[in-house]
Amino acid sequence: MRDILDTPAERDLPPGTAVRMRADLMTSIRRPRRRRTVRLGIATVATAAAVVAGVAMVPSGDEVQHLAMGSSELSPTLHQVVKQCLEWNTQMERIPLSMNDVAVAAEQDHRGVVLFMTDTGYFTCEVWMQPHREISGGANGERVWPQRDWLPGPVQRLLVMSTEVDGGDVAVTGRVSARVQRLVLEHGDGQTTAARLVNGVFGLLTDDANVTRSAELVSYDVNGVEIDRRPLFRPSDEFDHCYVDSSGTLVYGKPGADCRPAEPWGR
Amino acid sequence: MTSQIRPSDQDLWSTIATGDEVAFGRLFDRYARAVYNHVFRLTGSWTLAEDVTQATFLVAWRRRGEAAVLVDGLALPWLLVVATNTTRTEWRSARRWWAALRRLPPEREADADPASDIVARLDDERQMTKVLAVVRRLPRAEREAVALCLWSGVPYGEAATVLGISEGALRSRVSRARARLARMVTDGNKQEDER
Repeated sequence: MRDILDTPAERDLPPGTAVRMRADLMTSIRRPRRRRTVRLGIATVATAAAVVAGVAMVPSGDEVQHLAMGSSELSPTLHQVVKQCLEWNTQMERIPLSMNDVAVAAEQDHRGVVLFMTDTGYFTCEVWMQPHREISGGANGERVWPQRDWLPGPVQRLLVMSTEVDGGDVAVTGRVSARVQRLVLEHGDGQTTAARLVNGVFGLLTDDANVTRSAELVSYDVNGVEIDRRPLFRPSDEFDHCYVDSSGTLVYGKPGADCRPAEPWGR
Repeated sequence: MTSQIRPSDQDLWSTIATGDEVAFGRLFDRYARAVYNHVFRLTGSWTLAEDVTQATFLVAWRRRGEAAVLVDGLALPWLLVVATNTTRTEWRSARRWWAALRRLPPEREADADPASDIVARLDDERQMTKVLAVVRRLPRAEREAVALCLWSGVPYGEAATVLGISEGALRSRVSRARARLARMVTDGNKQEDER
């Protein structure tokens, strides 16, 4: 018994780390809207295949957001971001991946978010590369994804990273069904950010935002009618309903009487 | 003659509530180490412990207007529970290993930790991973009670207050955890013997 509960001896924060952390905290509390200190992530379970292409300079408020929809169109920074993601994948998940699997990638300031899709799984990550700072980020992936052909409704989030425990700036990736024409993040403070949709997947980066815990992803159809609304920060394995595929097999949620049809996904 | 008096947590928190950053810095200096080690014992990762420690103090700053965070005049029990909750959010998804996804750029290597310290920390992580492999089989409430009371040494009364449960209930959790762990060890030993 004693052995099990024996833990390593306590340690001090590494001196350089303690000083830097303290300085970051002080900077954060003085400039609450430019917090760049803490990366928190919530990930999901699921996705599928493909490749796309095209790059765009997309206005996003006062900033310019670079959006890439394929490996051949990556900006130099996004190229670095993708390389970093591939390296992390090699270290951690080892999903067979290459540059050609990039489905969507977005970049703003010193950060980027990428979603790779393979024939059987996915890998998605966010990378922060501030000058003279550690490269940091988060990632999530599935080598084999039994639910790849189905979504729990019109939209499925695959990765959320946030600068604060309960919001701040966020990076989100995921996928949508064919009937979603527009996807908007409502921050919860009256502000919104539109996601970039590309062949059934999306990427979204907020900039200098105050996304709150009550933020929601809202989907609209081709007529501009709202068809879905769901909390951004809900754990990925929690659903309002269960979802069944066309054969009636449960694909998401717990068995129940109120199961809804899962929405097909393809690219 | 001058003498320096260490302000109580109550005094510090009252000052922090007015937006005093210096006082907040002192709170960080006072408790960062305790939070850091607490999170390490919950996660088995020194890197994640750094990030969650930072997140914990950001939460503390945002909630500086709340008097209820102090338990018997102390801020540490509440800080440890905030850290626990933050860690829980982080680990809700099994494949969340973002904290491991860090590396030092060349310009920082000059002031990086000595190699011996890095090796020692890796040993810590290996040891803690073994401990957590067993402890994570406990129900969450029991696991967190063990971390708070047994590992971080928060008195039962203070821990119970900040968790919002009775001291008796908390003691029961720890007691049940001990019993379960003992069974796990026994079962594990039997399996070893049978091989």
